[in-house]
Amino acid sequence: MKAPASLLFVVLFALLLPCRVVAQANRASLQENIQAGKERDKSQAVIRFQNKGKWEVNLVGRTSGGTLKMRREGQSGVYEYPLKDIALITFNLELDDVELNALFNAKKFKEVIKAIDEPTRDILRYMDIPNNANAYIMQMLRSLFWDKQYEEVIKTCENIMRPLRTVKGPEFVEAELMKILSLQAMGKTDLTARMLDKMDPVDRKDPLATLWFHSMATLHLSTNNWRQAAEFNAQLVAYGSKDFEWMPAGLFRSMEYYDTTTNYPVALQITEEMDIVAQNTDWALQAFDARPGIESREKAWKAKLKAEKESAAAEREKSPGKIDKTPTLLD
Amino acid sequence: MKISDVRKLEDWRRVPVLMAARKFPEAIQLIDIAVPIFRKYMDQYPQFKDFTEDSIFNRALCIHEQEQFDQSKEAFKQYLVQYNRGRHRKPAVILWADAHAAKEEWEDVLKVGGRVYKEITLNLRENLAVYGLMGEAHFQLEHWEQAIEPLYWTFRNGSGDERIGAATYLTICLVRLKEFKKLYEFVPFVYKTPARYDLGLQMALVEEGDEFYDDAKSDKALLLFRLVYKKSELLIQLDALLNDLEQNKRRMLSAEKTKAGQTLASKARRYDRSIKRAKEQLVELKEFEDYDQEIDIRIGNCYFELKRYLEALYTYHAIYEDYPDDELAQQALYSCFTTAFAMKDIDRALHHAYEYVDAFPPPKSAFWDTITLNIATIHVEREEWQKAIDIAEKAIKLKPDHSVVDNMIYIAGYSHFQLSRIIKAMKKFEVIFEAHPRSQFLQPAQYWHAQGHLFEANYTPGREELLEFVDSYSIGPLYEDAYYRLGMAFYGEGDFTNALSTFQAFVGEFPESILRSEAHAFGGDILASWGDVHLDTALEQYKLGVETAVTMVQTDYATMAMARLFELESNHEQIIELWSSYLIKHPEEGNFTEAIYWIGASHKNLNNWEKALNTFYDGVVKYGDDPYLYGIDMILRDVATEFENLPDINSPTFDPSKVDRANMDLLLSLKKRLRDEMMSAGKQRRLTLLMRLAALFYSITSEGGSDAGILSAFMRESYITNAGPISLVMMGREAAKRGNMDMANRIYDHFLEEHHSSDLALEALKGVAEAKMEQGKFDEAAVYLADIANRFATMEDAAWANLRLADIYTKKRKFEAAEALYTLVASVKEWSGEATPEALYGLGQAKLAQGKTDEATAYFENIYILYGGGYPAWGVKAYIARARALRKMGRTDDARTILQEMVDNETLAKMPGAKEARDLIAELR
Repeated sequence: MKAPASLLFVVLFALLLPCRVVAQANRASLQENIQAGKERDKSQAVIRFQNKGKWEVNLVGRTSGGTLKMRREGQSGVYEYPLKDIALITFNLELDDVELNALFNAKKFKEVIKAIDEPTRDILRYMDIPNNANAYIMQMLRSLFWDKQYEEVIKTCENIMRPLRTVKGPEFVEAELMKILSLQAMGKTDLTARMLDKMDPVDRKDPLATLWFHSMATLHLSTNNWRQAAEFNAQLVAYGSKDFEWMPAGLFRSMEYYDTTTNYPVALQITEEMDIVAQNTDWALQAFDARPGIESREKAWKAKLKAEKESAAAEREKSPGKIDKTPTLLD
Repeated sequence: MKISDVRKLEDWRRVPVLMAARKFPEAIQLIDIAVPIFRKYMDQYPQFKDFTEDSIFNRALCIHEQEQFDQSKEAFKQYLVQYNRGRHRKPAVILWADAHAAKEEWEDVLKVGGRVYKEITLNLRENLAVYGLMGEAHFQLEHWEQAIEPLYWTFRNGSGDERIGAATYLTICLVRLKEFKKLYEFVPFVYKTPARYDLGLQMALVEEGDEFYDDAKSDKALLLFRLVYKKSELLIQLDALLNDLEQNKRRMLSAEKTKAGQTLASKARRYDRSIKRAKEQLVELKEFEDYDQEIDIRIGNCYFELKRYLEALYTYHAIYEDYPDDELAQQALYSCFTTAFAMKDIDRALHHAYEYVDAFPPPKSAFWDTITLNIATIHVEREEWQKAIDIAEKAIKLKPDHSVVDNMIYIAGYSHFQLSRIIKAMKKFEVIFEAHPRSQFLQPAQYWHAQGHLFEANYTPGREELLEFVDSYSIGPLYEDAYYRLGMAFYGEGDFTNALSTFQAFVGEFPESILRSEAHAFGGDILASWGDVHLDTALEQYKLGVETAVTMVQTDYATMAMARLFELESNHEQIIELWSSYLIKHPEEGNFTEAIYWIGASHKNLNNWEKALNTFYDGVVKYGDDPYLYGIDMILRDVATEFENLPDINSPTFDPSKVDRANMDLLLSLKKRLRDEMMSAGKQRRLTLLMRLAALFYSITSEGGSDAGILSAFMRESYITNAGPISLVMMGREAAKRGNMDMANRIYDHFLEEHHSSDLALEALKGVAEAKMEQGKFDEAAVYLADIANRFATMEDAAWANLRLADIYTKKRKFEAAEALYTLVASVKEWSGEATPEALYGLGQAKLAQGKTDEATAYFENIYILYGGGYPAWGVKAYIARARALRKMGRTDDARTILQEMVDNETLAKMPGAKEARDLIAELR
């Protein structure tokens, strides 16, 4: 174990860095340095400072005063830097985007969770600082949701949201929406209604709009407000057609709406579309199961219309004089 | 071996080092020196055979690394010719293919690649290189089907960019092959990588989508169009993709520099090709016209065609929001309107139509004419007349050369007509006559213009125009209608003979007409007006009116007319029979509560009080809670009169011999039953019934009684909608009595809005007019007074309304109008009565106000001479008014004389104004 860095060392080192942030670096406590020394075998991340300086570091923690504590690779001293001086943290994560996406698309959610969870567990508290891990964490969150681990989603969301509360960037909004969706899945309608009410609407151009549309539609469906739900589903489909994660849900619910409003051919067309665009999703399977029912309703509906038409024709036959021929503007 | 050769070969050992340092020309130089030596001593040194082979391969590799592909192709070929089964056979073949690929000689890549597959076993890495190249070659040659297998294999077995590249090509192939299911298997993967921004992929999506779109296969087109990225986004992303590729290539080179000579060059080359492709795409994309809005419009159209209207609507609206200044924004917003219309969501359609009108006024508006016409038509259909007028006028004002200007003028005229602004309407129709004589709206304009005359009671010009119309157009629904109206015009002119014959001819010509019932009813009215001899024929006509009625209004009119005829003949049994059969046919529609009233009233006239009062009671209890059933109010009014006339048995003047005790008991019993019913209606929350009965008891009890209290409890805004007409009238009166004129106004406004066809509408109109006058809102009051004067012209209430109107004119010093009305009231026979002295008094006051005191005294004199006996109150007023006028003229003695004359009159001296007269006499002395 190396001795803690002396004040002189810190000052000298600061001179080497062409930035003012170094001047703000504080000498950390002895205990922290000892702890840091234990962890210094491998650098955890590369920090890029606003002044372009780059350090290989292990993160030790953060303070309530808005600073990040770190130990530089090969050194035992612990440094604190204000968050505003940090441009990016690149964590050394051995994660393969392509592979993770492939697993996710193949619905191997547990594998995605397993791959991401362990290396990112300690990173949640740094999510408010620009970094390369957030995308993975959000992918894990979505995997948890699709794996129906709703309680875990809620817990993770709350952990994510805590450090992000002051920033409220896209990760915060996504976590908030994922939490709402999980609560909705657990049937906690009133609570989610309040949460959605408090939230600002998400702009349709925002990639998170699909989640918002979906949760709004879910909320309205929970109160049997089909019409309003359909409005949100339609927006999900119209504006989120490249979101292959949520689009199937929008399509399925649109199909249900058209089915409910007796637009059976439209509903059937959507089931066919889902067979292509949402293949292998649960939504597509549900749509496939719904198809025979829609077909039979369509048949019955056509028969009813035919009968009504015939009856109206018979009625006209009986009393042709009852046709209202009063001149109107449209004449 | 010669020493010099040995030295040369020592240099040869530096070849790998030079190659690693990418010093390829130097390496080739050493190889070229070494190879002849190896060949020379090959027999002596067997290992030189291998050295020769290595050197020939390395030489080819060095050429290849210098990107001299024409030469490297030859060099690898030479190597393979010499070393058919050589040690470097596999990389040589791969790099040979790679050289062809670098020269974009895709057919050759396939030839070489195919040979590899026939003859050589490759490991995974080598396979990826060769198979990847073959996939790319097939792709470049647009062998979409053949490309799939190698690309799919590369996608499954490759890694990183290799995989993404294969997926991109594969996706394009699937788009080109229209293999939707397989396409969407890949798309979720590709669309999570930068490959989604590949212009080739985007162009494939657009081109294939267009093909489906043009073939009206909206479902398929939609699947492709939805994947297209916008140009603006692509430009940014292609730039980023280019940077990524360059960065990845550098990373790959630095990571794999130690493996030079195998697949590195090929990999780098593939990067280069991708970079070149991205650069070309970027240039190509920049030259493209903007297609973003066009694609979105097409997506919207696809949704529309598939009847997925909500999705279409949101898609269209986003175009307008995102590109408000673009040419297509107008089309998009217009499409929002048509989509909402197709959804039958007319409110939404109107919302978007007005959005368009506000956003794109002429001259930049492409759909102005169509959209304004549609808006106006919708308003007409919804009977939103003022809105129809506003949009029609705005449409023409902002675009005088509107393509359907005649239609818009006609709509404005028709709407004015519906708002009873007949003169304005007629003026609009006249514009069509003059400016658009060939318009298809000329005929209806002529029809409505003639109708306008009838509405304005100008029957002669109306009749003339209708005659001309009937002569000009002998077919169509307007002809039929005009024919009928012609009968009405004759009727209006007082030419009843022609009117009757026209109605009869109408019935003959149009036996199926929906107006037939009305023609019969009019005929009945004419015949009935000709006296007793024609009553039977009139009755026949009314019966035919009932039989041919197609609406409840027609049934009700003819039935009511029959009932009145029976009433004239005091034929109460017939009335009961008539309304009973009405109730059988229409148990709960039309005037069924009026029927109940008539039946009850007829029983009463037949002195069958028990049946009468039971009928009333049952009707009230059963239907009294519906404010729109006006027969209940008629019953309650009748009952109120009976209750008021009940003698007070506790009074000392009560004479039992003068009353029918049984009937009185029945009435008292009814009173009790209705009071009980009022209490139970309260408990059952039958508010309308409760309020009706409260109004009944309020009207027959003195102020401050408990019943007044019940009505008072309902003197709140929230109860107005529950109240039926009789309750509203009472509430209005009560509010006015309390001085709460705002409340009174609100009550009467609600009455006239909701219950204008009630028999009590007159009461409400009078109430509101009085309330307005009380508040000094004379202009507003004048509107209601004029309405009363017009709607109830034959009733005394019209005289009252005209007098109040004249009073207002006097106040406003519009003496000419005031005097005309006073004169009118004084001259109408039907209004003779108290209204006449009042009118004369008004005339006198008007003259006084103008300083014409002498003329005024003449009117006052006329009053007490002609009407003083019949209407002593007016006599007193006239005496006093004349005396004051005379005093003003300085004729004090004359003033005192006439006042003395008044107080000497026994009747007048007892009138309330007599004291004022006596005081004035004292003053004059």
